[in-house]
Amino acid sequence: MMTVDLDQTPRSLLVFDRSSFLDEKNRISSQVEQHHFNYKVSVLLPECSSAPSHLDSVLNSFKSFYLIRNMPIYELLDKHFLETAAYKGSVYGLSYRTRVDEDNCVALMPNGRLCLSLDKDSFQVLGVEGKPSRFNHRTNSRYVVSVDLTHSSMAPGGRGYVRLLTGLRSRLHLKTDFLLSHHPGGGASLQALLSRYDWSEHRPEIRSRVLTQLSCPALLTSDLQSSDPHSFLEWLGAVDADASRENSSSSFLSSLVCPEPSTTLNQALSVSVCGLLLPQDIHRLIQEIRRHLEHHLESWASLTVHGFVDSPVSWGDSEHGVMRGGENFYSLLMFHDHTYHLHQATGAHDTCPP
Amino acid sequence: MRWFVETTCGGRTRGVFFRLCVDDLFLMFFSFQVDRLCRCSSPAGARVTDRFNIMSGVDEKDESAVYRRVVLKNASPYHYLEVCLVLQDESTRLSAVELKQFIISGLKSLYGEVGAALTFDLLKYDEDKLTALLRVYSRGLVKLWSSLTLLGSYQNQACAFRVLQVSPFLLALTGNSRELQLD
Repeated sequence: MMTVDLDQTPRSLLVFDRSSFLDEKNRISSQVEQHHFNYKVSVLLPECSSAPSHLDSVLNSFKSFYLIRNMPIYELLDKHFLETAAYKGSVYGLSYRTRVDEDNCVALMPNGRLCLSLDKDSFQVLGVEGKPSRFNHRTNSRYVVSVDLTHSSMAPGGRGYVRLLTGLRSRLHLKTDFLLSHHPGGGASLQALLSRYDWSEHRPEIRSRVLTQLSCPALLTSDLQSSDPHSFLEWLGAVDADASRENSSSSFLSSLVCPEPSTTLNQALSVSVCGLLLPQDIHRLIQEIRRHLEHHLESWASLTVHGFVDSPVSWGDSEHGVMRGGENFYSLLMFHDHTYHLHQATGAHDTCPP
Repeated sequence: MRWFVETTCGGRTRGVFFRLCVDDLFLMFFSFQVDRLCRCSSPAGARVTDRFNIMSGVDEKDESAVYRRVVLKNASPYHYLEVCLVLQDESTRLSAVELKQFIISGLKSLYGEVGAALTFDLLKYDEDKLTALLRVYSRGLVKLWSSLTLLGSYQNQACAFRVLQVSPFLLALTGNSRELQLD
């Protein structure tokens, strides 16, 4: 008789890095840069009741982004768009309201790489070279087409370019809502593309709240070797979700408590920004938080960056998918002495973070 | 670096077992049945190859006190669910205690008394939207989720639990990009 193992859960990975910003071998810059598509950044600052002015200005200077409704994807191969935006780099694009486990998803990366995550029918209709997804189970139901737009074979007029353009224009009429980042060269380079469709510009949404009498793990005094990254991340999630963290052991509803040893903070500031956020803006935010910590002895700050659930890539070119969840986030805990703890987490349909 | 791999297969002797060092393992590959070694039962869902990666990472980097990298696979003790209760009569309201008792009754009807003893936590509850955040031990996720799926009626009215998100990390539940509304 076959027994079903009910204890199994899908594979998840948590990478815990401990290093210092002053160590020249630290890879934090590349780890932040490679995470192209960021949806939400949330910052937790202890003993703060309002955002310091420098931090506020950095948050408000996060670049805005465009939403183009019902854009045919062959527009990303338009000669003018390629020359003015894609070849120059630093343009991020992602299809909006498409689910990577059900629909066709498109991502444009700043290095000029276009990634299409397609279901089997769409892939066969498109007729372009691609690979089956790494995370197919038994039968190939999803395919990934990854094209380097800066490569010589993809120059306008080249064979690869014509084949992809014909595929997207005449065979597979792929149209999605598309999020496009603001190009550093100015809006003029994107105006030609935007003028042809219904578009709107959006600013990242900033929300902040002040928490009082917050019990938090004693991060500065406890033995950091033995601290469990999972319980710290759980506490951070409970603060972000505003779940109750003071529960007696006899409580019927919940037994979630702050990890021991713990202290109480009089107040703390939680700020979150949502939208299509660029790694460069996040990098500036990290540097600003480090400057803030230099003036506050015996302090720490936490920054969590969530990736898009429906992005076809997570870090760099690594394929990303959704099995039961599409988490791909990292959480950076910074200390006054320039050391940091980096937690990177992914789900079942992801490779190991860098 | 060298360490020792002890091989057992389900506790029963299947052949000759040695305490080997890593270099000898390569010899083993060619002279004995290789797959037995790889498929041997190992604890905590981490295969021998993963142990190499995890253990070697800690060994090499212990030299410098500053840098440390650990890869944890399937190590989250809990799983978190965001669920929403949809009722036939939309104006019905439940308190947090009533909701938890309702879920326990679902566990009991599907898995019996032992199933109803599965501990889970109701971390957050929004009474207006009837959405809740639940926490359960990872080994109890399938039982809890299946009993939520099969719960069909609340006080003689039809109901359904919609499971909106499941994750081994509570942080992932607070940053779900599918909630992004730009219109």
